[in-house]
Parts: sequence; structure tokens; C-alpha cells
Amino acid sequence: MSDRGSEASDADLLAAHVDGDHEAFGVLFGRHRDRLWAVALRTLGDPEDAADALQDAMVSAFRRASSWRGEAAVTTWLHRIVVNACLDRVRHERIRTADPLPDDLETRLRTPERAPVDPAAVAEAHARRDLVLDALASLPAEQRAALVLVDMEGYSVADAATILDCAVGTVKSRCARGRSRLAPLLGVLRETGDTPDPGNPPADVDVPSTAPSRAPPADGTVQPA
Amino acid sequence: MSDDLTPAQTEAVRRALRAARHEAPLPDAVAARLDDRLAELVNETFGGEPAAYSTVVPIDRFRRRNRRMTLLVAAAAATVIGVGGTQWLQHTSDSHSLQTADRAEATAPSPSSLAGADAGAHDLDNTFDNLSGTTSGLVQLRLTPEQRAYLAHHDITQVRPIRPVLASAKSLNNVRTDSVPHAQVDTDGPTGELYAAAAAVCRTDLPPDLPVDTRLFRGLLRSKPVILVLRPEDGATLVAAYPCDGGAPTTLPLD
Repeated sequence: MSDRGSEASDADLLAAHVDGDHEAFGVLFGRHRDRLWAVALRTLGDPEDAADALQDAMVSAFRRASSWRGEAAVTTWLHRIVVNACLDRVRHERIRTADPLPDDLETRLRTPERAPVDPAAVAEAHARRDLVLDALASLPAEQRAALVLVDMEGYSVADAATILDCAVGTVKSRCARGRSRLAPLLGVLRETGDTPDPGNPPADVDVPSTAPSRAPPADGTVQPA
Repeated sequence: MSDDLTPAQTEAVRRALRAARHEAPLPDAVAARLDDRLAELVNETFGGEPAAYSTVVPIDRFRRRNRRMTLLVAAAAATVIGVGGTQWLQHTSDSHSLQTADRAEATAPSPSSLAGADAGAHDLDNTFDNLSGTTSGLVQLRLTPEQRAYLAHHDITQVRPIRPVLASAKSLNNVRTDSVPHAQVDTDGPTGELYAAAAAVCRTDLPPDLPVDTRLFRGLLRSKPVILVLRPEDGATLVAAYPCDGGAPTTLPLD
């Protein structure tokens, strides 16, 4: 790898790749693949699916590099391809069998713990994270992707709209709906003690029916059929 | 809708999501897989470097195989090449390759020195790893997942082998003369190949006394390109990362 790799901009590297530089794409993708992996992993929830999606996205980006026109940052373009690959995978439930990952992938995927000071605190943090991820997995894929980009990865709503190829208002709406669905699952409503009015009558109030009763007569007689 | 949540509740949800952000780097197993696929893509798109391995492949092993097996070899080689990054093997069954290999046979190591006289398709991957060393010896150029993980733990990533046999002696012009006097570099010998291979990657300050069984890799140390020198010492393997922009190496015990 040349020194150029550490100095060239993303756009320069993409242009060099299109021009036939054998190494440029590898340098470019290497810069961003950790974050792209994070997005894929959180969007799909499953490491093997995320690995497949990331690989699909890499192939797509490699082949479609000339389609990048500079309207958005290269990293935004890459994220867009990765998110599309993830959403495609969710929509079609497409599981490829090529390049199976090692049987012990789960073990390998675990990040080595760095000398936890308080094991109880670490365990609690992990439990909390698992709760969030489980709740996130219950959302529709589009809401999940929007929340991963905006709330987890810190993208602006405008950038997330570019990545998701939709209107800014759509991203806001997806995020809002997603947060609203997550709140009770995460116990946020209990924690804040500020339950919003759900708009339904209290459960202990009888609501009389206007339809004729289908119950047997009160005197126990049976009507002929 | 978020209208249902108070600002405090919205912020609490966002805070919980932020805390669940995935911070760990790409797992080594996935990274290796992506590297392999990228190498295939590069090869498919830009083509390989011509007959690069012909000087070390003992061709008589392949003569015993039919065309189908040859294709399997090419497929397995493509996988190995992925680990190799930018160095490629184009092994075909055409006459030119055979002629080149015929010439190589005279200098190639004896096939009998390889484990297994007739490796099946299932272990061709390993066979090629063993074949792809220097002309003077068989040097394993694949790191184990544990070694890759160890290096990654020390911020050394994107590690790919450098195959000395593929380097041009002209690359010696890139070797800094202050660190490696030309008099100490035998451009025709295996040691010269090591320096030439490293110099083909970047200008670097390698020590002048690399043993011939040194394994060279390239990679990134905290995102800065480095040449990795793996050499045995006192029964262990040391890895030294030499920055491409000069400076002192970072040395670690690998085993």
C-alpha cells in the first residue's frame, strides 16, 4: 500500500478505482468498513446476515463505483448501499449459502472484555443493551434503519434521508414511530413516570353494548331451534 | 408517534439507542472473508499479474491432474490470492503456462518436500499456501485467525502477505540506502527478494540482516501503512511493524 492511501480523500480513491487503480477501493472500503459493519449489524441484528449484507454491499459498491456523481459524500453513498443491502435482505429473506462463516463465529464476534472494573455493572450494561436490541428487532425494518442511522450512528435526518433515499419528513416520521414503539419496551414510560394519555377509556369502566344479548335467558329455559 | 412521547421520554429512548451503538471493529473472520471477496473482484475486474507463481509451482503435480482438477486449482488459488491482496496467480492450462512452468521446474523445490503427494481438491487451498513462498524455501504466508485477532488487538489491521517471488528487483531502488546498504542486498538471492518485495509496497527502513525465512506482510498500524516482518527468534515468532513513512518499528511477540 502506498502512502497515497493514507492521504487521499474518499472521492480521490473512488475516482482512482474507477480509473483502474487495483488498490484504491480496498483502501476506501477499509476506512469505513467498521462503521458499515455496525450499521449492518444493528439493522439486521444477526451477525451472519450482517456479514452477508456487508459483502453484498461491498460487491455492489465496487461494481457501481462509476455511478457515484458526487451529490453526496462517499461515506453516505457507501452507507446507502449497505442499508439497501440490509433492507433487501429483510424484504426478501434472502439467505445465501456462499462462503459460510466459521462455526465459532459467535465466539469470534465477541469483543474481548477490557478488564471490567465492576462485573455487576458490566452485566447490567449488557442486559440493558440486549433489551434495546431485542426491542429494536421488533420494529419494522424501515423504522429500525432510520433509528440506527439517526439515533445510533448520529447521522443528521437529512443525511439519513439521503442514505435511505426518502424524504426528510419520512425519516422523521419513521424515527418518531420507532421511538414511540420502543418506549414501553424499554420501560421509558415507567422510568419517567409520565405516561401519555393513550386515548382509550380506563379498563375498569363498563361500556354497555347496544346489540341484543347472545347469552342464555336468565331463567335458564332453552328456546327451540 | 413521537407526539405521544414527552421530550424527556424521546430523549430517554434516544439515549438508550446511543448506548447500544456497536463500537467494536469488524470481526476478523468477517474481515478476512471480505478481503477474499475483494481480491476476487479485483482479479475479475483488472486481471491478474501474469504467471506470477510459475517459478515455485512444481508443475508435475498438476500434470497428473485432468482439466477439471486444474480448474479446481484455479478456484482454490483465487481464494488464497484473496489473502494475498494485490498479488495474483493466473494458473491456466494453456501451453504458455506449461512452458513457463517447465522452466520453473528446474528451480522449484522438490515436490516430495511437500506434505501429501497428491492433495485432493479439499486441501488445495493449503497446498497453494505452502507453495506460495520464496524460491529458497517453503514459507507459510497465511496467518491464523488467532494471530490476526492478536494483531488487530494491537491496532494492526488489514494484514496481507507480500510474496517475495512476485517482486521486481527494480523495486530495490525504493529501499532506503541509509538503512540497507546496497552492498548487503544480494539482488539475485532470496534475501534480495525480501527487500525488493517490501520496497515494492513502500519505501521503508528494514534492517539489513533479514533472515531468508522472514515472512513479510503489509497492513495498517493505527491506520498508517506498515510493513510487517515476521521472523522466528528463540523458538517464538516476532512481528515488527515498520512504518512506511519511516521511523522506529513496533515489535510484538506473535506466539
